[in-house]
Amino acid sequence: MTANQTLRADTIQGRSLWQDAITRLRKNHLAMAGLVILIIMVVVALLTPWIAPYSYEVQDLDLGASPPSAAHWLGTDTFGRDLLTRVMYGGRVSLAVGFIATTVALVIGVFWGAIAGYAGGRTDAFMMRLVDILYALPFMIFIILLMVVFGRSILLLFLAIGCVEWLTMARIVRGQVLSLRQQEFVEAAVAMGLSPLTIIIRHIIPNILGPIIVYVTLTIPSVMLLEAFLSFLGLGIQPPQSSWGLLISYGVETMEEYPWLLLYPGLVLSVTLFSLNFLGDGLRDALDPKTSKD
Amino acid sequence: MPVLSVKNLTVNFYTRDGIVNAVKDVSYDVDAGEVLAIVGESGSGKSVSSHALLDLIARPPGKIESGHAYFNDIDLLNCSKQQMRSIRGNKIAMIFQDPMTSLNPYMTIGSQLIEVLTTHSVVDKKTATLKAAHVLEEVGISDGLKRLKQYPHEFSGGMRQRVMIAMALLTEPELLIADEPTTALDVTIQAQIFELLHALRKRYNIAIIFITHDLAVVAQLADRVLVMKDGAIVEQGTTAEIFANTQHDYTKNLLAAIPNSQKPEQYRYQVPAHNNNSILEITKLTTRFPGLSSGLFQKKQYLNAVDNVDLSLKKGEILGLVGESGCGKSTLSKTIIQLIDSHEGSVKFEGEEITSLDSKHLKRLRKDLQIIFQDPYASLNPRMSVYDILLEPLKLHQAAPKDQLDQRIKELMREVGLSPSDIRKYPHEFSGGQRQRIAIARALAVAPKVIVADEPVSALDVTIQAQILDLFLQLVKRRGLSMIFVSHDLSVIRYLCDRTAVMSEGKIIEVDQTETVFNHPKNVYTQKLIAAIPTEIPHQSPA
Repeated sequence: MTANQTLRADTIQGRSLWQDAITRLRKNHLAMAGLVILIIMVVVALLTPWIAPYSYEVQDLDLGASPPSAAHWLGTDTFGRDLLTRVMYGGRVSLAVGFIATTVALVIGVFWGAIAGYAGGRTDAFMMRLVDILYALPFMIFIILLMVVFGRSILLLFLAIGCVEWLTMARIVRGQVLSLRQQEFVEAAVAMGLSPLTIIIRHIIPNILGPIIVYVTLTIPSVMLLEAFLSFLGLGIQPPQSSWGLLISYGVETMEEYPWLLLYPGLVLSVTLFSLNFLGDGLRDALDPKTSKD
Repeated sequence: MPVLSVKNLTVNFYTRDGIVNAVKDVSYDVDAGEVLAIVGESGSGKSVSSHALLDLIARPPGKIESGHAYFNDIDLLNCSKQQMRSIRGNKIAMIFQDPMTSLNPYMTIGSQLIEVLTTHSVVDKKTATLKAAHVLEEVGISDGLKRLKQYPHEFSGGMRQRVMIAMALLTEPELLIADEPTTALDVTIQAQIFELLHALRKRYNIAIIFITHDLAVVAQLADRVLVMKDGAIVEQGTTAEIFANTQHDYTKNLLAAIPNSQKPEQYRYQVPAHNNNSILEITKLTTRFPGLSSGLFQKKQYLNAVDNVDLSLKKGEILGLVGESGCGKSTLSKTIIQLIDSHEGSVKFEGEEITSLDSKHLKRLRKDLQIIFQDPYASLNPRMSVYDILLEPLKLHQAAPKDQLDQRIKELMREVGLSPSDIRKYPHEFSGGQRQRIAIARALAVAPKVIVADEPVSALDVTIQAQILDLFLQLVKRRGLSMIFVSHDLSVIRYLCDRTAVMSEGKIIEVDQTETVFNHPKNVYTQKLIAAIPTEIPHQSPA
């Protein structure tokens, strides 16, 4: 209690929602564990070219598929490539696609939906019909077209996935904004003389962070799997490069003979997704002033 | 012998923040044909104490710790679910606060009424229909058979509450629990519902438990009164006893908080020598909303929510705007401060036309014209602390130098009666009255010249309401504000306002000095409105 009071006295001025949220997040051990694991994942992914024990493409056909051993901690695949190395390199692609594509979806979706919902009327109708049209377009064709026009590159693949994923986000956000717009505190903000953009950023978006965060934690795994699917069709990553999604899909094929080829990539992906969910839940609670009294 | 006898009822709620004693050791009896009023402010346990009897509280977190409630020798608190179902809605019926949400919008009134009958007794559909139609006519809805085929949205609020009462009466209950049944209704409708309850009680000899926060209502309707505070009964007795010889301090506070007089002399607006002193001049103002039925090739239908309104606000006065729900008073106030676009007419602020300002000039105007909303639970952003809420207008309009912002915020909090140590709390940590104080501070932050207050006290308890009204009086006087005060509550208007405008169906039908309007209403509608105010509390002898 006394510690709490001194904390308040020290920080009595100018604490924003985000600063409060960080304080609250720190107290949530599960969320912090998730955050630490994610940070470790990212750091390992960034440093992979220097710390990976083997090369991801050098094959040792004599060795073939071997179970985990002292030399190869996670074993080797059917071409005798070190699985740990391939998981580490795969992480680079999967984490990048997860974060970049989701960020693209998040930024476009939130702003598109918020503006449409807040403006209402014809602007809303026009913006949402555009979303409907894009929804109706088979996304595979859309991505293939992009690849054909701009050539194949990993970055473009990320953007393309993001450009497809934002549609649902825009719809979710618009629905939330429509109901929020009726609230008196938004009207009060208008009466105060704030500009529409400020109202959206300061008053509306903070109040829809809950559903946004939930959707983001759902989007990240789905774009990772989407990347694996596209790669499988020859539109994304090509062997000998790898991603978690690709490793898992090969692992499924050889599951009966070489279970470790499915087990370890799957485990890494699951741990990442768990961490994301815990962090997401923690963030959502931390951003809602009502959830914690202390 | 009493119909219902409650003994030592204790209900606790187990929340994350600890145990809340919602009802503490409450005992009371209700006799046949008697109206017992349970009075208290929000959170006093008045609803929980009766909802618990019918197993209508959420369990968990609620838990009935102890007690008995004998209804015809059955202990309601210790009976089987099956027994409870046969009593609830049959022998004991309930009417809820909001008739808009307690009827199923997708079912006709008829099928909802008949459902009640067929659930609780073995009757064929034809008998049930006839009975339903009969009861509808009993509660004052004529042409019952025809109205049975209609859906809830085809009834007005008062009519829906009559339907709810009809539904409650269908099974000829011995006890009717009415939980604030007229709070959501206009004053003229409220008077009609009271008359109806009176008549029905005489005819059927039903016992009624009437839960309310409004003492004026109690005076009119109840035989006995039970005053609750913090889950316990603080006072009980016959209505005459309670009003004539109030024992408990809390009841005295409740009685004193009812605004039934004029405001103190010192706050009254003195007409200055100059005539030409209106700060707001509204002429022929019309606001339209598109109507419902407009097909592609039909001419667009419009509904004039504000219809050709002329009104002026004098500098330093409080102008009351009173009317029943749907009369357009909220639309008018929002049109005045340019939250809703007007269709025709002009609003002049200090001589300047403001209906056609561009966004830059409008921002400047916002500094001078501020609004306070009805519901302090909705009008504050739940994710901003008090500091942020008050900082925003100050920064936006550069109302204070940068290095004095913190200072100004604390001053504002003190001015509206909040403790500056609460500066970084969030809205949900405050009570309703405190939240309204935050909203007032936010409006005051930019030092406006005119404040439009749209029903600012109708969501508050009566003692809190009295405090906020006095705060308004002080602020208007100290800061030289002019104010438009919108309310459906005539006694509040009478207490606070210098002049009063009465609104009906989008039009202003009477404007005059408040006392003139109340003592000598000219318009027939105004007369009806004033006659419907619950009869004044029997006068207490001066202490």
